[in-house]
Order: sequence, then C-alpha cells, then structure tokens
Amino acid sequence: MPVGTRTLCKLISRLLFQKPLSRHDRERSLRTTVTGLQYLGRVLGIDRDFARIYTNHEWAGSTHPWDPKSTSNFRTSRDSRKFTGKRPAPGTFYAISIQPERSPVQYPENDWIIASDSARGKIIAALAEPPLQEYPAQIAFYDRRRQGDASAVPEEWVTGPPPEDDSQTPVVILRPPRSVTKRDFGAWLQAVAGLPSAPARRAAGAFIIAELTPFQAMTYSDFFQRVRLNAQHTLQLFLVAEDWAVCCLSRDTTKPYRLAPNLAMAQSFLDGADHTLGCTAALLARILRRADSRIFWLDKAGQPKLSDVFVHGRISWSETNERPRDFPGSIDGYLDLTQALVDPDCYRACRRALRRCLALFPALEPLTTDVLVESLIRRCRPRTVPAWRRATPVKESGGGRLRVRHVQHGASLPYPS
Amino acid sequence: MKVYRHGRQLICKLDHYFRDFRCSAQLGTLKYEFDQPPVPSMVVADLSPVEWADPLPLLALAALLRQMSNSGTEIRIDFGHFSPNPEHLILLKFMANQGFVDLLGKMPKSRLLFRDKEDPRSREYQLHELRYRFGSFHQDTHYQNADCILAKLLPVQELRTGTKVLQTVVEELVREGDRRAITPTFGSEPISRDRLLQKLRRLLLELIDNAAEHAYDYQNEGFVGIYARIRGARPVESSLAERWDALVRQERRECPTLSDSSPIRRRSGSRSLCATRAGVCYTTSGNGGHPPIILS
Repeated sequence: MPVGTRTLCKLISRLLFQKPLSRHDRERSLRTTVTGLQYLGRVLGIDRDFARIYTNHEWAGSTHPWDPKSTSNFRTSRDSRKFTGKRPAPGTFYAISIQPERSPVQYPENDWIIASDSARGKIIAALAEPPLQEYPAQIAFYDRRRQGDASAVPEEWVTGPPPEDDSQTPVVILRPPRSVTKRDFGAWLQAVAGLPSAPARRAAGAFIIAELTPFQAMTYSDFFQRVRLNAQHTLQLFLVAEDWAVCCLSRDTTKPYRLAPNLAMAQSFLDGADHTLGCTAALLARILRRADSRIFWLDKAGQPKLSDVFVHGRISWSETNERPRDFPGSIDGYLDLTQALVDPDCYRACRRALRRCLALFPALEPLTTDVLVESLIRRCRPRTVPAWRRATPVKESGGGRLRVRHVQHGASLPYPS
Repeated sequence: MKVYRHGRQLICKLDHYFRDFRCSAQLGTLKYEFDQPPVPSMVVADLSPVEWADPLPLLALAALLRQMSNSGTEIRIDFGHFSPNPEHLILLKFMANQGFVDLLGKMPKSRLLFRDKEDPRSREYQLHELRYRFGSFHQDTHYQNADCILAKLLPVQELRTGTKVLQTVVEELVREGDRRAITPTFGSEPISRDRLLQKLRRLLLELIDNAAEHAYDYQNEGFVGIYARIRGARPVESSLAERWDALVRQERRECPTLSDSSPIRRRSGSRSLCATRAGVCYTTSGNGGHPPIILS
C-alpha cells in the first residue's frame, strides 16, 4: 500500500469525533450540521472517557477529547509479515470505556442561570395557585415523555398552512423522552426555526425543552450551540433542567445561523420579568404539574384510571394512627397511594413531581413520614449540587426540614373522580 | 487462525488467543473463502484450541456466521473438550455467562458440539444444557461481576424501519444494563448512575443508528453486535492484584491503542472504581468491499 494512503488513514482518524465528516451534504439535506460521532465525542469528552475504533486494518484510540496523535494510539496490520495472505475483518468495531465522575454536573457559568431564592419563590407561589384547567392559548405543549420517541413533529408544524396570525402559538414546549437522537432534534429545529436547507413553514418565538436531567441539559446545550440554523431564524431556545437551571440560546449577533447563550433572557425567564416571552419558569412549573396530574389520574385515552384506589366520601383519620399534629381529623376522599403507585406511569409522574418540588427547597432536608415516600425520595435526590448549595452545607445552614407526606389534598391533584 | 476447505466444508480453526488485533488482521479470510465458489455446505467454527477470546472478535465472528447461516449454510460450532488446561474452561464459562454461547447457538441452522458429541435433543435444550455445564465449571472467570449487557446481534433491517424501533431497542438495552450492573454498582450514587445511563444511552443510540444507516447495503441483511461489561478496579489483595496486572499487560499487548490513560482512572472522591466497557461492531456486506471508514 502506498505510504500516502497510510498517512491519509491516519489523518482521517485524527478528525474522527472532532470534525463533521459525512457522506451526506448536510447543508442541503434535512440533517443537522453536527454528525453522530461528533456529538458522541462531545458527550464522551465530559468525563474524559476512552474510545477506540477499528476498520480495514487500522485501529485508532484516544481518551476524549479525541486526539490520537501519539503513534502508540494508531496501529495497523497492513505491513505485518505475520498476517501475510490474510484478509482483515470486514466492518467496523467500536470499544468504548465509560466511567462516570462522582462529582455533580457543574453548569458552565457562561451558559446557565441557576434559580435564585427569589426565582424559586416565584415558582413556589405559582404552584400555590389553583391548578391550570387548560394550557394558555399562546402555548403549544407536546409531552413525549411516555412515548419514548420524540421524533414525531406535529403535523401542523410540518405540512399545515402557515397560520394567518403567528402569535397564536409563539411558544412551543417539548418534554422529551430520555432517548432523543439528534435527528429528532433536527426535525424539531427544522419545524420551529428552519435548517440551512429549508426555512421553517411557521416559526416559533420560543422553543422550550423542559425537564431535562442536568447531564442531558448540558450535552444538549453544547449540541444546539453547534447546529447551523436557517440564517433567517429568530428562535429563542430554552433548556430547562429538572432542578430549574435554565439556559437560553438565541440568534448569535455575529453568526446569525448559530445560537449563542443569552444569560439575560434566561434570567428573565426565571424571574418572569419579561412578559413578551409568553412563558415563564413559574408558568412552566404549572404546565408540567398539569401534565403529570393528567398522567397520574387519567389513562392514555383520557379516562379516569384510579377509581378503584380512590375512596370517595369523608374519611376519618384515627387518633391512634401516627398522624401529623397539624393534620385535620378527617379528609374529603382518600387515595391509596401504595396501590396507585403500582401503575408505572403513576409512579414516574409522582417521582417527577416530587423531584421538581425538592429542587425548589434545596436548603431543606426531606423528612419522610412513611416507607413508601422514603423510597420515592431516595430516587429523587438532587443530581446536581449548585454552587449556592455547595457554599452553605445543609446541616450548618439551619435550614430546617421539608416534611413530605403521602396523603395529599384534592386541590393539588385535580382529577380525583 | 486457519481457514481451509475440507470437501464441501469450510473450516475455521481459531488460535489459542482470539484477541482484538489478531482477529482484525485475519477474520476477513473466512468471509473471502466463504464467497469463493463452490458455496460450502457447512462452516465449522472450531473453538477447541481457544484459551482467551475478546468480546469484539467473538461478536464479529458471530455476525459473520449469522450472515452465512441466514444464506442457508449449516454452521457447526465446536466448543472443544474438557481440557487439562483450565484456560479453555474459563473461556467457555465466560462465553456461557455473557451470552456468547446463545449468540453462536441460536442461528437458523447451527449445530453445537462439545466433546465431539452433539446432543440429539432440541436446540433449546442443547443450549440450556451447555449454558448450565459451562457455567458450573468451578474455575472463576478472570474478571468477576462483569455482567452488564449480554452479547447480542441486532438485525439492521428491523432498525431501519423507524426511529421508534431504534429508541425502543436502545431503551431495552439500557434497562438491561441498569438492572444487571448499573443499579447494583451505582445504586447509592444517583449522580453517577444517571450520568452512566445517559452516556450509555447516547453511545448506543448514535453507534447503532450509524450502523443501521451505513454498514450494509439496503437490500442485504446484516447485524450489529452489542456487548457491555463492568470492569472493576485493581483488587487490593496482593495475589489478585498481581494477576490483574498481568491481565492488563497482556491486554495492552493484544488490544491496539490501549494507552496508559485508558484503564480505570482513579479520581479524587472515588470510592468504588468501576467502568462500563461497551463494544459495538458490525461487518459489511455486498460486493465484499467496505468503506475505509464508516461515518454518519
């Protein structure tokens, strides 16, 4: 084999995971400008994970960020006399070693705003209001959490005629499933903002991707900052983590086809200061609560599903039971939560709601009143330790305790019938 | 590895060590010989000499044999004998525990031999019997508590039917990894567990998607091999630690590009030290050629 070819293979191996090498013309197709390996390289780079790849005689390997410059990280069997007359294995092998860091995800200060006490107070106040009966008219909420598939962009965004008045749905909220491919996000971006190859049929003013784990949130933020959009786009993209950290990406002033962090807008979203946005963190909290309440009480066809485990009528609470001191002697209706949580959808809805709630009271240590709630709490511990919490350890702050009970009043769960 | 014809049979006799570099340099010979006329009526994979096999070569061999089996050729897997050398028995135990025996045994037309005998009963029974026999050898496998995602071959034709199929498959794999390894190992550390699951999900989604899109011609069927295991840290006890060191040295010799930085890293704040190692492989089909590098 000519030496030049060998050098070329080595050169290409250096670009793997780093550059958008692709067989497809990504500028002209409905694909994002970020390739799968490039995206994977960024994810593996967070914890400096190791990857190696084989194809056609050659192996290349490196810890991430990928940089197999050292000769020990590239090996070929082409010139080996030992294998003269043999043919190399066809295809491609990947071997990846991943090791998670024990330390919490650190949100980069240049991209993320972590909810302050005052912002969290506004969300708590909003949740004390009566439950939403309908989603506000300016908001289109798409919940894909239960479907395991975010790819289906609603028909009205893809093929429907552009609305006469675009202000009808300026805000699109997506709650994605845990598995989202970048192709799924590509389809959504094409619909709400337009890709270089195709402008959007109808543009959204804001696109909010809600309830992400901190690790998801950070990797998505990195991904969206690398995607090229249609240069005419006016999108404001919000990534909202389940611990209420927010990243806003909006049109880059120097490169209009890119998205760049907009900290002021993220702060406005959390504080609810800018009413032109159409949605605030407080409203999002109420929307998510409504979505989870529906999942908890109704089946996929919209019919009540917990009739067997909800006791209607006035229920007396026996004095002999270990009941909290401030709890009334009788309640209107009783939900057997142990039975209700047998349904996996109910369990997950409950866990999500609890996780969002705990994130609003970071200085309080959860104090559970029974074993069932204890098991839920164990799965809901905060996954990040934001800077303000690291600075003031819970025990020293004297912050007190948050009592979590499993008996709930009907008012917070609006579908008891 | 020796590949030769014996009448209408094509025989592939593996060496003592079926490891990454050796396999990658010569496994194509089996495919090349298979494609030469006349088409062999049977392919024999002789595993009897093998003392050590890495997961990637086993996945690649299984993917190739599966393609051959699907084209109507009978596959015979010879697992060898009760060897006085314990290494072969350790290998069989590893293969039984990690799903490789099932992978090789569940081909449309496969026959399984151990001690030159083939059990006349149903293949399900044979597989059950072999799993039980190999799994109960008293020798310990070299790496303990390694279970994560057992070896699997995924047919790309199914994966191409839609994104939803890919996501469902990946979620099942992630759930298996979580159930077998991640929750038992990282259950008390939600931050690590979440991070590991997210990364595993991302890499499986992207790599399987890549394979489904690029690895095979659309009219041909092909398979993506998947396997993941947990690798623990260097043991504290000295004799076990020496053995562990020897295995790592051997691995660096036989598995290319494993630099000093690749073994499990000791990090500040780490208590138990574990890493998940995931292997994904796919062969190519069609006219026998394959692209130099497969990219998305």
